[in-house]
Amino acid sequence: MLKSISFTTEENTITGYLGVNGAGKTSTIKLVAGINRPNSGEITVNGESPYENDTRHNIGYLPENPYFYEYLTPREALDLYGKLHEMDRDLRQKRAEELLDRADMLRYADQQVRGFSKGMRQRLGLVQALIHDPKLLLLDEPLTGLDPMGRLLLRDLILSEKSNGRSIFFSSHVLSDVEAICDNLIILNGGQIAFAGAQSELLGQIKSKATRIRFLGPESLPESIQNLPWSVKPSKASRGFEGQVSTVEEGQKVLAALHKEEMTVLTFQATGLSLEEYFLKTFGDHQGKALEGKDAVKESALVEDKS
Amino acid sequence: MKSKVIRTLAIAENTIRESLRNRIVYALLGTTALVMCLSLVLGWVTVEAEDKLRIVANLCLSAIVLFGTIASIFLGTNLIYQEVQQRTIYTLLARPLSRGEFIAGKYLGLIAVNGICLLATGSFFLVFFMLNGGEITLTLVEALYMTFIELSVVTGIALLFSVVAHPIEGAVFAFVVTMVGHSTGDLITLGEEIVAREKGEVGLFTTLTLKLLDLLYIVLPNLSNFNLRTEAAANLAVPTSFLGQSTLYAMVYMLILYLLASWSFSRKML
Repeated sequence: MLKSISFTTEENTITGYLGVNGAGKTSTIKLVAGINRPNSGEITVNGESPYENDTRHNIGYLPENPYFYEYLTPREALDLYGKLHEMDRDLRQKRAEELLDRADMLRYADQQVRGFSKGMRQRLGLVQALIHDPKLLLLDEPLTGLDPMGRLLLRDLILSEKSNGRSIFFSSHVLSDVEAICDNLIILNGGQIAFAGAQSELLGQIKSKATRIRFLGPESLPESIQNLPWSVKPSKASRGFEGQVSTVEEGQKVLAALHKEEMTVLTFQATGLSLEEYFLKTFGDHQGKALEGKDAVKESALVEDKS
Repeated sequence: MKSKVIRTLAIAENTIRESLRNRIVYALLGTTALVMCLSLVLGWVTVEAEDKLRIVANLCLSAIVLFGTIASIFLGTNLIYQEVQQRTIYTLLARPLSRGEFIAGKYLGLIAVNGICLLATGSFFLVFFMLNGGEITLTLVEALYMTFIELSVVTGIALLFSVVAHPIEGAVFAFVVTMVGHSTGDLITLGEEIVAREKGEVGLFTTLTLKLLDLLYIVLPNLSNFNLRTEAAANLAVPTSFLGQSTLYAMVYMLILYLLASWSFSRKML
């Protein structure tokens, strides 16, 4: 259930729309696409209501797990969609040919959709969303359930559409993809927006807050090392010790001290969270319980599998 | 306006293409043809040659109506539900296409499918009838035309139920309405019988029952208006005014069904 949502997207940008299952991502996208109407509030696309036919000429929509008329071929399906945008026959055929070629679907253009794999349907889904050259592209889970090659192909297509000047609104559970291609992020939680802004802003907040240092040393560490402003303890994962500092300056002090004591530094690594770890830690558990360490990684796999 | 027509026709064209690629339609067409051929068996046991032809004509026309009704209800009740379930509707409604245009396109498409199927079964029947010594009369053609009108109304009923109910429930409701629609005249007769049994003293319960029967008579489609099978079999002339009035009645009824389906669909959260 969406409560109070307000956001804007810009041209030439990809906005990632994140949220756990049931957060309301698909509902939002359907509202923006003009399929459903909100109980209250206003949605505008380029300043116009999406419930006006003219506005929908500027919207391209790829639903989650897109389905097509099983007995139609991609060429026939695209022809139908083109007709609904009042494109003339020559333009319809030209656009269909062009887009099918870019999506590597031209060889399947005259085969009925019913034999298509998920990846092929997803590619056809993107093609149908682009047939009328829309300014805004709404993609609901476009990369979910695809094999690595299929994901790469679709990711490249999406990125090339961004460089064509489109504004792309993209919901996904595959957070590594979101991290790789989105400029802006909107995170939905409990029907409300928990974060909206540039991805770099969020990543800046969650990354590089601390540095972890692993080193080899004698069984009993000298006081000059123990008294440094850090917490140090024997490493659980491997031999030696590990400690964590909060700032770069503290890290430099520790390194100098270790060097002075002639200890071997094994790793000097910025800690912090990837977008996926941050997301799972903050929103991953449906009961609101934060997930930690290995649990977060397991949950991450589950989320991808489910989708 | 022109844009609306283009979009509606695009949906109609797609519905025709989709339906005609559905094997069930061909199975029903084949069954209709088979039943027509079997009507000869009943014809053989009849002594009089004229009676034989009358029975063949009646059975063939009835088979066309029966299997046409099954096809209309099957295709009609699945129409919208399937679009929503299979999510094919999302890629359509995100385009400049209103829900009303979508329903209109679907309805027109199915009416055209009925027309095409009827053209096939009707032609088969006329040839089959001629080969068995029958004569193609105007009334036979009029009976086929009226069957087309009847199936268009039945499709509208199925379409309405497709919007508001699950396909199985929708099919049952549509079938019941169609069956009752063939005998709406009996509702009036039933009312008259009830009044006669009460011997002039009409109580509250009887009054309410009579009102309900009147309401059902008005609301339910009077499908017997489209039944010219007996006239066709007996080669009786049908007044043109009857054909005109029945067609007009069907048009109004279909328009109401469309408006109801369109209104219900526009309120649906997808």
